[in-house]
Amino acid sequence: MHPVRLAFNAMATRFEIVILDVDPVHARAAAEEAKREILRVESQCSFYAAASELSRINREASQRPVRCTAGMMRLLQECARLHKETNRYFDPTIAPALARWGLRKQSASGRVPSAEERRTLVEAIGFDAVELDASARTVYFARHDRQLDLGGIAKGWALDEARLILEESGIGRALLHGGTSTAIGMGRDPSGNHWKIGIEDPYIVSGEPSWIMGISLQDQALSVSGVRGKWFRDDSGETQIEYGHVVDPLTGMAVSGKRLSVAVSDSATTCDAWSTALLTSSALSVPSHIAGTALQKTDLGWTATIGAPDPDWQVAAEILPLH
Amino acid sequence: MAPKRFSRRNFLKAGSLGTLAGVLAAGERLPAEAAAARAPFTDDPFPCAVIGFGEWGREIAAAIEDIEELHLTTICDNFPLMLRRAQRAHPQAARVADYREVLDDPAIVAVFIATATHEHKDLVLDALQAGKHVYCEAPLANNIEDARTIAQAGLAAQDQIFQAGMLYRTEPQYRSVYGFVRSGAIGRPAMTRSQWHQKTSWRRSSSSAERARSLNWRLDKDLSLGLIGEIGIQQIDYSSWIIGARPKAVTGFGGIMFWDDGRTVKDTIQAMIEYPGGENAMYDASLVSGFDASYDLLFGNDATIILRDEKAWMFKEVDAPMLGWEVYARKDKFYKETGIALLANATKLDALGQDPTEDDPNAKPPIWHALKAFADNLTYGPFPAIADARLGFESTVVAIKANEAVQEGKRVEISDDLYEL
Repeated sequence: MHPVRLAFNAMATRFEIVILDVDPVHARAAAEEAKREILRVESQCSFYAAASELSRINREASQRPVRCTAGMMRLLQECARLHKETNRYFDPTIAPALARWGLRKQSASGRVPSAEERRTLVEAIGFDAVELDASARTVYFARHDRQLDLGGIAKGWALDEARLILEESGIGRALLHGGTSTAIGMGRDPSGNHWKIGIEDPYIVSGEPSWIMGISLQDQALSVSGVRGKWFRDDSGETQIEYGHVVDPLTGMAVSGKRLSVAVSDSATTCDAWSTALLTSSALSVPSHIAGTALQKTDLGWTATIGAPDPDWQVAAEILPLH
Repeated sequence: MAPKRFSRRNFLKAGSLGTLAGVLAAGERLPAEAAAARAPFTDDPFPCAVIGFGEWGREIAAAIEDIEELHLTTICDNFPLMLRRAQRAHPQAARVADYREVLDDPAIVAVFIATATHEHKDLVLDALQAGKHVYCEAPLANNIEDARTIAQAGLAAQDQIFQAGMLYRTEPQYRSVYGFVRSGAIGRPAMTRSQWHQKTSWRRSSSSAERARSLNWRLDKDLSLGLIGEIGIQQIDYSSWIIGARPKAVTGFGGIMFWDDGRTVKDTIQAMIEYPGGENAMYDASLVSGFDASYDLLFGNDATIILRDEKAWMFKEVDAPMLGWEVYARKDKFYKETGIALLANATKLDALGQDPTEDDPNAKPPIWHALKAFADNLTYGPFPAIADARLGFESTVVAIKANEAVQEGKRVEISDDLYEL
């Protein structure tokens, strides 16, 4: 088996595809096709590119039903399913809240909106006002203030689409990831084991990586969300608070504190939505088809606040499962 | 569905073909074009089909879905995997493996041919014979004989549209710059330089080794016109358009510098294209380095223009005359040079209250503009396509001879008789 590795930039992060195959020429060609698929999804789902399909929907869908591509309709239907499954904690209409918090762009400096502002924000959020007509393939915003932002799910969707391309090309062993926060493991790694992903402690920034846990992906996907990533520190109060780029759609509050969530399932899209929801909610039950947990770092180490690390995950000693 | 414009031209077209059908009905096979010509009397978009659902066929299908005058009813590919992809991307379209099913469908008015270059001839001839309007990807063929046969058939089908896929002829920014150069803004055109760089193997994958060989026709020198013919044809055509002449000779070089995987076409090439007026076009393409991607440079004694990503900038010589408007134009720094932005649709965007320096929300890829021109021709024509059979043929001749020069590493003359139809 010859490993073939292809790395490229997309969705403002680094994607990587590693393929194991007896024919490296074939593997490279398959990786390139998967890359093209990821770039296609990026151009379709970009919130910032004025000519993207998503931008056109955001400009026009509050005025009239907008016809979209079959791929976009499938993605929005997935959004609807996951919005419902996560009790609305995953909500792709979160864009106004992220903008108000100053968390839209990496370079933005954040600020905490007032309670009144947050009440207004919550009014402007809600996927329930996004009406999908699958037969006519149209999207309509029943409220004029709706904006779709697929940033919370697009990486997972792109990786799922790329996996399909690899499978169609006869590739059985591969690891794909986007920005190291969403990954898919196909088949076995070079040593013959399932692909293993380490979840790094983001609060230990010097020296060797400190692993919170290691997860073996058995033809599965994984997504990790955390406060660290796009975040800012609010120094206005008596204590410093770190706010991350995920906002609770039900309260308008950005997540804060030393928190991390992990979701593993068959679909990277599902994982992306669930890791976001698990980071946001303090009381969310994880359905049986997903292995998920939310963790908080305290003086005692990492503590599971929702669910518990799956028994198969190699949990580091400092994890304290709630059982 | 959006209502289709009912034009006087359509009415006349249908009427004339109705007469033709009447004449031919006496003993001869009623041509299918009579059926196709009846379609304009409805208010529905023109039913059409894509033949070949590879990478470029998928781009064409996506563009068709974004053009209200066209309705993608059928996708044809003889590879089951491509038909599965077609089902995912265009579930409303019928999927067939045999192109005869497309041609035998009287409801289909137009076909877009996006198969391998060496497969074009039979498809085009059969489609025209079946009365379909035809859009054929460039190059038309991988040999001059086939290209000539295709072009002759396209020209002979006077009541049908034949458009070659020469993308820059219909792209607004390239058209705008053409007019700009013709107005004398860069002075006397002296030379052009174009490049296309992309780090990719150019190889397609398949779970079947046999199918992979078929999919990778681009890598086989017996089937493909290589980088200069399959990719460079677009940029060289633009040079010829700007210079206003057909190339008279090409000197080529190239090698397999990195992708030594059994292919027989070069992965890195350079070529010098000579024009009768003494101008030269320099062209290089590489699958090894992606540095600086793709662009076209047009050099004149008063100014040089660079086109890239459907945007353009002009760099004036110090002694060039003032054009007047450039004082107000947006300017961008390029190292030590200052480029004056040339915006094809600035006036329109300004009128809409949008900033022309921002991304254009209505920006479309070149293939969209090519297909929109085709759709407009269907709606209001037929009139001679901007990229008609003759233009497609001449560009293909250049592509074939340029590839010959690159493959053999020599200078190849293109005599006038080669351009004859």
